[in-house]
Amino acid sequence: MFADISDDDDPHVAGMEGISKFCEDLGIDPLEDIRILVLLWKMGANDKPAQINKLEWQQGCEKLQADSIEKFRKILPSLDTGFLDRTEFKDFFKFCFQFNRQGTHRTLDKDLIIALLQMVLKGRVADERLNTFSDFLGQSKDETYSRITLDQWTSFLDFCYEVEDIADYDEATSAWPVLIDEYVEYMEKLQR
Amino acid sequence: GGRGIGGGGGGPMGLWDVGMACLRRHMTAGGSDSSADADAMDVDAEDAKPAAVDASSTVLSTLIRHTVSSFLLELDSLEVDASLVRNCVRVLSDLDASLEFLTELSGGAAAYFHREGQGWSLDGNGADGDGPGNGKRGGRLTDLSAYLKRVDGRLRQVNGMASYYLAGTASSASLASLPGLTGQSPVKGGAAGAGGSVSHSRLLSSIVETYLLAPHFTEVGALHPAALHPLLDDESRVVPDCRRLYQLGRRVEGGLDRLRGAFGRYGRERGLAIVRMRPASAGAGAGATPGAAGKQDNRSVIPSLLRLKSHLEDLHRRAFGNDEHFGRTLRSVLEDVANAGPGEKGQSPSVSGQQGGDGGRLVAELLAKHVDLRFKNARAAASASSGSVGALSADPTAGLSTAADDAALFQSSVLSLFRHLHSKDVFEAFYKRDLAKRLLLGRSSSVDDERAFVSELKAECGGGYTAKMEGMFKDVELSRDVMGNYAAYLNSGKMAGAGGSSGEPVKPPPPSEDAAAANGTEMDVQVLTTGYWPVYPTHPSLILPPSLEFHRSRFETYYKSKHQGRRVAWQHALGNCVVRARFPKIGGGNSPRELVVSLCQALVLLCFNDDGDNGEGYTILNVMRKTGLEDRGEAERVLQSLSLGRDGTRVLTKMDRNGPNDASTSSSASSVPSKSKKPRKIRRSVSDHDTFNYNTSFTSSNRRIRITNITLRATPADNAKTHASVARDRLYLVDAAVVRIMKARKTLDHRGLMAETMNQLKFPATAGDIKKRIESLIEREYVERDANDRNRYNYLA
Repeated sequence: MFADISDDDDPHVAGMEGISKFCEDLGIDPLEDIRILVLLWKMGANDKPAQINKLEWQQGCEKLQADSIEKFRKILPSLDTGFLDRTEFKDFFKFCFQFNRQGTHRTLDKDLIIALLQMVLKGRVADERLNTFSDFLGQSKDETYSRITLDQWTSFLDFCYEVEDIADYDEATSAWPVLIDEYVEYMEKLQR
Repeated sequence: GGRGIGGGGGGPMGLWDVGMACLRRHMTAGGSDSSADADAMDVDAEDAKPAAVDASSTVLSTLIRHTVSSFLLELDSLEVDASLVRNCVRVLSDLDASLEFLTELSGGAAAYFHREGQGWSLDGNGADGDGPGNGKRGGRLTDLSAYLKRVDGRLRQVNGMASYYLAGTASSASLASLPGLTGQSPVKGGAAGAGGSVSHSRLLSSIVETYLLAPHFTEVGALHPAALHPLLDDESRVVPDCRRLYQLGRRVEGGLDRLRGAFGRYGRERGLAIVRMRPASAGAGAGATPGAAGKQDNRSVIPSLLRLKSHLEDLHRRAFGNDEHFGRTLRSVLEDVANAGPGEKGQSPSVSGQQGGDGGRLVAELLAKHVDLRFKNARAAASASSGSVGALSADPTAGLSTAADDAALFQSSVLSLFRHLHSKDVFEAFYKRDLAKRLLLGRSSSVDDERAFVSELKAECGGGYTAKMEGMFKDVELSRDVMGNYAAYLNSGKMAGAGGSSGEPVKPPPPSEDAAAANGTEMDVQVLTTGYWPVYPTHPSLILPPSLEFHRSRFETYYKSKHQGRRVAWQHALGNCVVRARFPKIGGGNSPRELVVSLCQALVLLCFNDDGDNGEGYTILNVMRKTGLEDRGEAERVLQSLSLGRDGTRVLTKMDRNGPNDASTSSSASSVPSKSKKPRKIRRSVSDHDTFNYNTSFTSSNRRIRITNITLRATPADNAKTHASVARDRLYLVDAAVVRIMKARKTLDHRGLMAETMNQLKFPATAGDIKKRIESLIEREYVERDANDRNRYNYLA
C-alpha cells in the first residue's frame, strides 16, 4: 500500500502528494479535515515534516491494525480529537506544528498559524478565546510575529487551559511568552 | 482661695509674699459689683456673677490689658515706652499674674497675626491675575521673597521683644493651653521642657509660626511652583532668600519634607525641560535654560544641564546648609534627568524612535558629543561652555585659571554627569567613534588631556570599558615608532631592528629611483590594530596615482617583512592629503595653493589635470572609472564637496545637464557675468550627465584651504546606526547573562532568573526585553521550559 503513495523519486518516503492521494482514497479532504493529521500523528510520522517514511508507515499500520484502505476507512471515526485527553491532545497539538513546517525552517508563517489554530482547536477551546486570539494575530503589525515559534504555539494551548479568565492574568510576573502578554493587553484595550 | 496670712514661716520672703498678696487683692477688687472679692470664691449660687464682668474693670485687668496693647502697638512699629512696659511685666510676674497676662497676650497676638496673615495669596493667582513678581499690594503679599522677608522680620521682632520683656517672667508650665496656639505643637527646636509646654520665649514666635508661616508653607502657597520656581531660579537670591526659605521651613512641622519635595520637583522640571529641549519659560533665570523662548539645539543641552547641576548644588550648599536629605534628593533628581529620554515632543533626530524615558541614551550621546567638541578645539569649547564653571570657581579673585585647571574642571564636570548615566555603553560607543576620528585626523587639541580623561573613565568603569580606547592611543604611538624606524630604514639602506624570518632582508630601492617615483610627495602612515578601531568603509579598487602607489607598496613591503603573517588592509576612506594646486586667477597661476582634502577628494581632483572630452570636463561615471571609486554615493559626496561647498572651496565647477548634449547651468564662481539669462540654481544632486570641470575662475586669499569631505561628519543616520549597534550588543549581553546564570543554576524559576539577570546587567533592561531573549534562547535550545512547572526553566547542556 505504501508503494501507492510513495514519492516518485524515493520509494521510502511519502510526501504531501502521496498523502493527498491517500486522503482521496479515504474520502477525506486533506486541506480541511483534521483527521489526516491525527492519523499521521498516531502512526508516528515524526522524522521530518510534511512526510511519512516507510518505516513509520509500517509501524503505524501495525499499531492501528490497518493494512488496507477499507480498514483505514473503518477507523476514521476514531480519529476525532474529542477522544483525546488533555495530555494526548497536547502531544497532538505539538505534532500539528512540527508536521506543518517547511524543510528545515523551525517556525511557521503567521497566516498558516491562524488557519491551523482554527482547524485544530475548534471545539476544544472556547470560541471567544480562539477567535479573539486569531484576530489579535491578524491585526498585529509587529514584525517579530510574522513567524511563530513552537514555544509560542504550545504555550498558547497551555494558556487556554490554565488561564480561562483574563482578569486573573498577572503580566508583571508572568512567565508566559511576550506574545501572550500582548494578547492580554490587546483584550484589555478592547474591553475599555 | 488665695494665700492665707501667716502660714509659711516668718522672714523677709514671707513678708514680701504677704505684701504682694494684699496688693493683688486690692488690684483685683472693685468693679461694678462690689460683692466681688477675689478671695471669696465660695460664693452663693444666687449671688454668683460671672467673674469676667468684674475682671475687666479691675486694676489688675486694666494693667494687663494696657500692657498687652503696648505689645501690639510695638508690633505695629509704633513708639512705646519700652522700660515702662518691661516694668509692668515684672510687676505682673511678682503679682503672680503671669499666667493671666500671658493668656491675654497670646490671645491678642494670635488675633493680630491672624489678621495679618489673612488673605495672603502666594500662588501667584491674585484676584486680578497678578504674577508672583508683585510686591506688597495693600496688605496682600503676592511675592514669595517679600513674604519670607516679612515672616523672618516678624520672628526677629518678637524674639527681640520676648527676650527684652518676657525674660523676667517666671516660666510656667502648661502654656500650651493658651489661646492662639493650636493643639499640636507646631514648633521644632526651642520648645522648652517636655510634653507640649511652651517656654515664654517661644510663646510669641510660635504664634507667628502658627498664623503666618504654617498656613502658607504648603504646596499651594509658598511652595507652589509659580511662586517658588522663579525664586529658586534666581542665582542672586540663593542667599538670603532661599536660605531663609529653608530656615523658616525648619520651624514648621513637616516643612522641610515639603520643601525637599518641592525642590525635587523644581530640579526635575528644569532638567527635563532641558533634556526634552522645550522652549524655556519666560523670565526663567540660571536654573532654567538660557535664551528665553525658542527651541534649543542639541549642543546646548549638556552645558545647560551642567549649569543647572551646579546651580542646584549651590542651592544645596549655601541655602540648604548641605542638608543630607536634600543632598539625596539632588542626586535622585540628577539621575532621573540624566536618564530621561527626549519624550514625545522635540525628539532629537539622532535618537532613533525612542519614546519617553530611554535609559539615558540621548544624554549619553550628547555628553560624548560635548566631549568631542571640547577635545577638538579646547579654547573655543571652553568659552562656549564657561557657564559650567559658574559658581564653582574656588577663588573668584584668582584671575584667569590655567589651561590645566580648565581641563581638570571640564573633566570633573563631565564625569559628575557621566556617573548618573544608565546607558554608559552608549556613551562609550559614541566617544570611541569620535576619539578615533580625532586621533586619525590629528584634530585632538591635547592628547594628554584625552589620556587623562580615559584613565578617569577607567577608574570609574573598569579596564574593560576603556581597553579599546587605550588600544587606540597605543596604536598612535606605535605608528610613530614604525614611521621612525621606516625612515631610518630608508636612510640607511638596511633593515632596522629584528627582521622577518623569510631569510632575505628587503633592500630599499636606490635613491635616484625614489625621487622620480615619489614625484615630490611624502607619505605618513598610521597603523591601526583591528578591533580597537571602528570599522570604516573600504574602497578596495581605488586607483592610486603612481607617486602614491609607489609609497604605498614600498611601505607595505617593508611592514610585511617586519611583521610576518600580519594582514594589511589600507583604509583609504581615512586617508588625507595636501594637494598643491595652481589657478590662473591666483598669481597668474604661479602662486600655488595647498588644498587639505581627503584621499578620495585628492584622487578626484587629479582627474582634472586634463580637461576631459573636448574640454567639457568629466561626468561622475568618468570620475568613478578613473579613480576606481565604485561607491557612487561616496563619489557624489566628493564631487559635491569640491564644487558646491562653502565659498572659497569650489575648485571644481558643476554643469547640470539633463541629457548627454544638453548644456544647462554652471556653478562657476560669481565672477561670471550673468546679464543674459537668470542663472538657474545648481542642483545639489548629481545626475549621470552632469559634468564637472576645473574651475578657472577660482580664487582664494588663503594659502591653505581645507575642504571638508562631508562623509567624515557624523550624520543623523550615522548616529542612529551607533545607537542600533549598542542595542544589538545589549541583546547579546542579555543572552550571555541568562545562559551564564542558567548554566550555573541548572534550573531556576522565572522570577529568580529575571532578578538575577537584571542584577548582572549594567544597563537598563525591561522585563519584556529579558523575556524576549529567554524565548529566543528557548527557540535555540539553550534553555527549556520545565515540563511540569510553567514558571521554571531548565538548562540544556
